[in-house]
Amino acid sequence: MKGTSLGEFEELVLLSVAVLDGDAYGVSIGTLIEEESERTVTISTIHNVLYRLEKKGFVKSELGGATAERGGRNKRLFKITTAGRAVLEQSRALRNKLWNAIPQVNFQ
Amino acid sequence: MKKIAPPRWADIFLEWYCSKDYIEEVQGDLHEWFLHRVKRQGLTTARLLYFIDVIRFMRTYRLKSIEELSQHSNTAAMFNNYFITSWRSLVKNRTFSAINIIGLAIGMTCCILITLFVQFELNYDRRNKNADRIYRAVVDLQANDWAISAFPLGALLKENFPEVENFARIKPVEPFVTNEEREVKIKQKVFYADSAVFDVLDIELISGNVETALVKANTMVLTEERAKAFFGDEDPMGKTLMMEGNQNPFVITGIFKPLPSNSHVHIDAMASSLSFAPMQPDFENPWGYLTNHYTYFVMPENFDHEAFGTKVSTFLDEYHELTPDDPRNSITFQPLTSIHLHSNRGLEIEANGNVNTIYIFSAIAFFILLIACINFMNLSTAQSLRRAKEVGIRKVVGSKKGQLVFQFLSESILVSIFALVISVGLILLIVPEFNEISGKQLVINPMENLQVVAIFLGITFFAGIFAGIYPAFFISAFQPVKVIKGTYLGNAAGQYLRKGLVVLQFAIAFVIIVGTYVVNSQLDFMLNKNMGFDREQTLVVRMPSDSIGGHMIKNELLKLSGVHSITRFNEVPGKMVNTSTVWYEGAERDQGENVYMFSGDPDLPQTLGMTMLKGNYFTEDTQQFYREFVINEKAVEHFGWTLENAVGKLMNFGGRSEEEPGMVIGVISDFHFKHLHEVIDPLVMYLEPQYEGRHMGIKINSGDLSQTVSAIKSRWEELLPAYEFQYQFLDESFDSLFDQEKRLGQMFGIFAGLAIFISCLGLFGLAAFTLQQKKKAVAVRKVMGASISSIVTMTSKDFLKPVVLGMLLAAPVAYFSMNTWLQGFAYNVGFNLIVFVYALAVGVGVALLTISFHCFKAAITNPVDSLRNE
Repeated sequence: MKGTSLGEFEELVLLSVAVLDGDAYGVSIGTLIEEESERTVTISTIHNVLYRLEKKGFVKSELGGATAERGGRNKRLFKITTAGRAVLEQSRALRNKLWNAIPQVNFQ
Repeated sequence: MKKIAPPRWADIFLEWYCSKDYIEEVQGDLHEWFLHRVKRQGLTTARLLYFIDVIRFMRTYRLKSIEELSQHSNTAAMFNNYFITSWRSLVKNRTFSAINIIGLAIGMTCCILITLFVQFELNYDRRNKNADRIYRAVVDLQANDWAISAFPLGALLKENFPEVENFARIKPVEPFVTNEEREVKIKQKVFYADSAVFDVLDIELISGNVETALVKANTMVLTEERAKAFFGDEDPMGKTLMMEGNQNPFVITGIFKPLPSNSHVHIDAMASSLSFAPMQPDFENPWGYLTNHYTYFVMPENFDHEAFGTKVSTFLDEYHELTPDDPRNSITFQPLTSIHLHSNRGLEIEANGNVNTIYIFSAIAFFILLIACINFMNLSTAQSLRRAKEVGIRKVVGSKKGQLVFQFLSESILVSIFALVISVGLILLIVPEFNEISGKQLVINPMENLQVVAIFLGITFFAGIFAGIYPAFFISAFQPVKVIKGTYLGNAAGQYLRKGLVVLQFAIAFVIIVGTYVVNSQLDFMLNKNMGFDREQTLVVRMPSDSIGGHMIKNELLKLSGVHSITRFNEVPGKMVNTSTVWYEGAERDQGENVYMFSGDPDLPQTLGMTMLKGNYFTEDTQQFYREFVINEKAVEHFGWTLENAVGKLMNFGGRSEEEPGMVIGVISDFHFKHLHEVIDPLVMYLEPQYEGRHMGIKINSGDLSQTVSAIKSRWEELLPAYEFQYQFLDESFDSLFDQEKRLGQMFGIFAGLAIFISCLGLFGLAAFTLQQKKKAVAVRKVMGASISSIVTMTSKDFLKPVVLGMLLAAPVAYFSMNTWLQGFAYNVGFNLIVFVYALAVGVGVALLTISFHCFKAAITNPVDSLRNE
């Protein structure tokens, strides 16, 4: 279905939003992905992906949580929506299905 | 130690572009991320990466919107609003906007084009590094003023006047030049030149040495393009060329860059002056030989060249030990940069421009732009009723008059910027064509010609402000109360002014049409004027310069069937420049006088159809070479004789000779031996034994012209295999004298067409608008029983009145200006008043065509359609 499929990086960001549960914003997502996947990310890419996800309705956002580090500026905090959770479940189910379908012989 | 913070300038940049909807989160995240980076990668890297991130955040959706930008200041918001209302009103009235923009675009295109042309003309020879310090010495003789000077003048002045810093001489010849090795044979203009020419005329050598290139005899320098023609891709340096009339080969010692196209002289080959005998220092009697030879002097800055001319003339009088009876020397020094536009002497190197052409074209440019601006004024004020409510509301809300003026001015500038876009496109298309017609090389590439940008923008803003200033004041003067109440119905004064402007437009167009007619009829007149000799079907052939018997060739060619008669003469009639001193009976001075001389053999009158008024022309059996004279009518008058007593008067070459002076044997009727620009001067004709290196005129019987020409050519090749058969028809060589006038005529025609077109464009718009306003009046008339024709007549009359009035008012201006122009010609067609009838017919005809569409449309519309929506 158009608009509901997830790109690889989009899925990663959406998962991070779910993991961070309420404290998901640009920097925290970036650090999480960097730590877990050991790849470098650019903060602007994450922002762009977050806006795309919000447009698709998988996350919602609000401003809040200013800190001194940020010079008193608000964060845009993202939360996963039900649709977001559903699309994650969907892609996980698809993967599991395909995993199970792999004949064992291929790993020898 | 540096503070741990992201670079401030990157932040400023971010704040500048980023919309307020995003700035907070983006900047916050970036700062946090920066601290995160500092820990891992160090301060410097983090700062650099910060900036990269700032750039990465630059996505369109994060940029500030127009609204957001304009919220910054009130002025910007106002601008934005002006722009929106202007745009809306332009789009709403598409037809009128298109008329305005197209009219202005055409007007601006003409104006830009002419400005470029004028710029080109004014910059002649300015690229010379010493442009302001170089002067050309020219000589006045009694018979005429010449652009030339004597061979030894340069060296003599350098020796005797310390102010002369340097000088260079050039002498053009046009022989065949051959490269025997590669069998290339080209007729090539070669300038014999002093070695100083590189410095004086600022000619740059690409290869070779300026100091030595033209120092030795038989050395030659070429332009790259000519070198290619002679040597192909081989290296030309050190190779040789043979020049017709020289025994020794010329060695190529340099390759030079050609002078810019706007130079009064164009050189592509130069040979050292030492290779040409009369330019050598030890030449015998160098002062007695004046030919097309030019001397340029380098003088100090801010030099008084007029005083120097007088000083040199007096000096030469003493130097030549003149007696009080002798004619005085008269030398003038012309500044290099004034040659192209102000010098019009005999024997100019190339045909020069004319400062009057510059004035005429500048005036045309201005007036065409004016016509286009008037369109704008008329249509804007006519439509102002539609904008009246807007103005009323603005005023009520608190707009000051100045602000409204500013608003409408920016609207007209907006229109002129649209017009600029179109006219830049047009210019790019037209300039190559224009260069073709005008024979110039205008540069529109701003990289090469920076002033182009200034010209484009200058004209755009001028047009925008000039066209907009009146409508701006007119519209902004509306009284809000009247306008909003709806009692405002336009003012009568505005209508009068609109009509007045149409009068002005057509007056200008009328003058340009009359100008076109007069220029072209003068051209026609000159091309067809009876020259006093017959130039049809006459071939002019260059004779070989070795004495191989002109008689033999003449007699042989006479045997051909298509040849009517043949004459040999020393100069081509219509282009004569030869003068000499003669003494005549009754002369005031013993030394005689400098007059035009011409020599043609006994068959001249018969071949060229000249008539003798008294006495006889030279005959075959006369051996009285240089001792018998035939003079023209003008000479009879000039010498103070009469037709009755002229034959038998004594006359002599040079000074008075007591023993055996020559004698006048006949008077020939006047013929135009010089350019038609000039009057017929006294002419003395004599007979010489041979005409080597001169010309032969061959009159061909009517019949097959080309067949006879090829028969002559093949006979020539049998008789003189070593010499090229070069010919020209006498009428063609004559026509080529009028290149300048032809171009002027063509350009005038184009501009006249455009002037009329733009005027009519405005009239079209005005008619459309007015008739739309009068729709109901027309409908009511129809209902009452008016016929279609009566309505068409009624409406057309209204528009034709200003057209006719404009033309009538312009008639005296056209008459005066074109008459003045015609006075510049010694022989002019005269101002024929019938041209007014033609111009009026054209103007009224075109105007009628333009408005008839709307008049008919108004007349045939069903009155119901116009009346029902009340």
